Amino acid sequence: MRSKNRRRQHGRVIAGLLVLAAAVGWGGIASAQAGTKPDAYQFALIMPMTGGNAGYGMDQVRSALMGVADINANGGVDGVPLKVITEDSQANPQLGVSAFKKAVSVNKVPIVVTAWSAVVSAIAPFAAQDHVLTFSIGANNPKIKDLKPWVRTTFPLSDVGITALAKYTYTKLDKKTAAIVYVNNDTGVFAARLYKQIFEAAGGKVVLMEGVPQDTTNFTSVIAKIMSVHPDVVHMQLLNTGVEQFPGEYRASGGTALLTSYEAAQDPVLIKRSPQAANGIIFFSTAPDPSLSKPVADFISRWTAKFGRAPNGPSYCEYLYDAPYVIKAVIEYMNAHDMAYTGDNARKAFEALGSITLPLTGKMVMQSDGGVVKPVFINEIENGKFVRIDTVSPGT
Amino acid sequence: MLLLQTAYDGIAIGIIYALFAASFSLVLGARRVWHFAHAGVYEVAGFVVYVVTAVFHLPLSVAVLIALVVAAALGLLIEHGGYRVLESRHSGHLSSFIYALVLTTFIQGVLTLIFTTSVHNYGVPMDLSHFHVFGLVLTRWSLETIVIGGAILLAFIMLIERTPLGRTIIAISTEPHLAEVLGVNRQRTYSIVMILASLLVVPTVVLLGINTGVSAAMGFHILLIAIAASIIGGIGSVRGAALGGLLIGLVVNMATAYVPAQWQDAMAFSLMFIFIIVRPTGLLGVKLRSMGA
Repeated sequence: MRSKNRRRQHGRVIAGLLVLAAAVGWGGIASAQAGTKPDAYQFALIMPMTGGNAGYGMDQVRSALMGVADINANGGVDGVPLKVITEDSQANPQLGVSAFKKAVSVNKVPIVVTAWSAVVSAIAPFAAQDHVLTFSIGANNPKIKDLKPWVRTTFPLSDVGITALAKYTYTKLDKKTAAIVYVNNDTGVFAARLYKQIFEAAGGKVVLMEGVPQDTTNFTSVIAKIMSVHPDVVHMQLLNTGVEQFPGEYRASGGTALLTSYEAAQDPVLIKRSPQAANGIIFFSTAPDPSLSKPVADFISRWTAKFGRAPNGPSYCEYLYDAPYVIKAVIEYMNAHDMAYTGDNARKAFEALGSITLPLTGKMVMQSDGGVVKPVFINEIENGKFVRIDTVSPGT
Repeated sequence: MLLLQTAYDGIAIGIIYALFAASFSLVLGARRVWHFAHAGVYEVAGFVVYVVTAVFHLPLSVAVLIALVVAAALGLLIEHGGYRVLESRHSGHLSSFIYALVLTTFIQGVLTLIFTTSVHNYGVPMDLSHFHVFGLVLTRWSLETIVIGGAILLAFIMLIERTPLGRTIIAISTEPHLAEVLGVNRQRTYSIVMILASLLVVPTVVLLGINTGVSAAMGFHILLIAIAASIIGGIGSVRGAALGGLLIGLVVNMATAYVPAQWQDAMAFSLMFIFIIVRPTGLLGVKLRSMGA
């Protein structure tokens, strides 16, 4: 009987403590919602910092950190500094998910920035589950549009550039037959199919489509197949290591077709590896080059002065420099509307914004389908330099 | 013509596989261990060549000499610091198996810490020259690989099969205790085997690395090919493993004339499965169970 009373007493004490804890917790949430500013606005940046794609990934991280530093040097976001938690994905979906889980559960970030299509696709279900607004900045698989509302891209997906390049190759460059060599993952498969669809719709013929594993550096057998079908153009929808390697092997085998690619060809390593093979490669980019924009010229010269060389994939670096400014705009909107810094509110704020003007890549207008449309710049590698040869307006 | 071209290219890559498989098989036959750490020696040799040519800008010949010394020293270290210690403790095949696996993972981890997992190109410019012969395109790389790699491979097989040293190694491989009774220094022979096998990874990694660069993760792929080649050729047979490696390169490359290139690795291992089931002794070797496998 006595022990029964004691148990009841303990039960009341525990219930009381729970009510107290709930009240304190509610009060904490209420005070956060009332607009109490945190010490810093944290977000996570998950990129390949080691591995075959680190040459690009690290330069994008450096660019994003420059953006954060510039924002903080100018008073932060409404007086609060931005703080970035960097995590390594190695462009590997499994590692990307682990990094995401760590950033969300340990660092409690409500916003994540990441890239590489396979990584973004793997993270998407967890972003929805944990209500984390995840920006895909640099991944180019058009299917990323379908990952909204929790995954949003601020980067024009490859359907924008691929469509422009495939049409341009047929109509302006007068190439009638194409072979496509693509990486057999999210980056390559969809883009390769889209290239084929657009190129053939324009009147051309895709004579060969050949997928290769992600880590391929020996293209001997693929090249033999390409040489046997004599295409006018070979489009490379490969990851960076593939784009760095393929042109040299292809030219060494006597291949003479025009080589085209996407932003991955904007890569100094490709030129260093074999300047002769890199010469003449045509690729698209969706970010302005220094000759078109003074802020971009200043950014590239600051970057070069800081790290002693030009960035790999400057287009991507421009978008990554702008990434913290996207987050800044989202937080400013939340602060203006007295919303706490949570993933749910960040998503609502981003959707409400509709468009954001960014320092390097200009005005970004969100499309109803989740995509972003920008002008497409057609570039060529000429004597070791990236030279813009044309601009294709969206929709043409 | 496509089939001929892929066959020619297949011989070039097959020579690379054959070189690695032959050296792997030498240790497997003599020491009776699955020498997975061979992949680590291969990676270290590759990075020595990278550092000497790309960081210190010294000639490739100097890099090769240094890589030969480093690879031989590392091979000896693995033998004396690992296999011999385990043998003295009568630890059995499983311990050697685990030791070799852990060691190669460790080497790969250290190389990743130093060089990351990025691809690094030697400080040797890519040679784009090629020749047209009867409609075939012969790249300079493939020609050099076939000629130099083929010559080294033949010399290696001759060394094992036609010299007193080779006969000693074969004696140790087939009847180690009897050979010892007849006066062969078993431990000394094991050291020689490890040095020879380690030396042979240098031309392998130089010939392949010139074309594709080197990375900390590159050892596992060629190790898996070597395992498949050893089983196809006959476990413990150096000539068989070389033949197996050549066959894998040839068949896989020729098959890609008809099937997508992304199936290459699957085809190599399908070939291995076929041999395990249809011809477990391999092309020239002995049954799997006799190696404790």
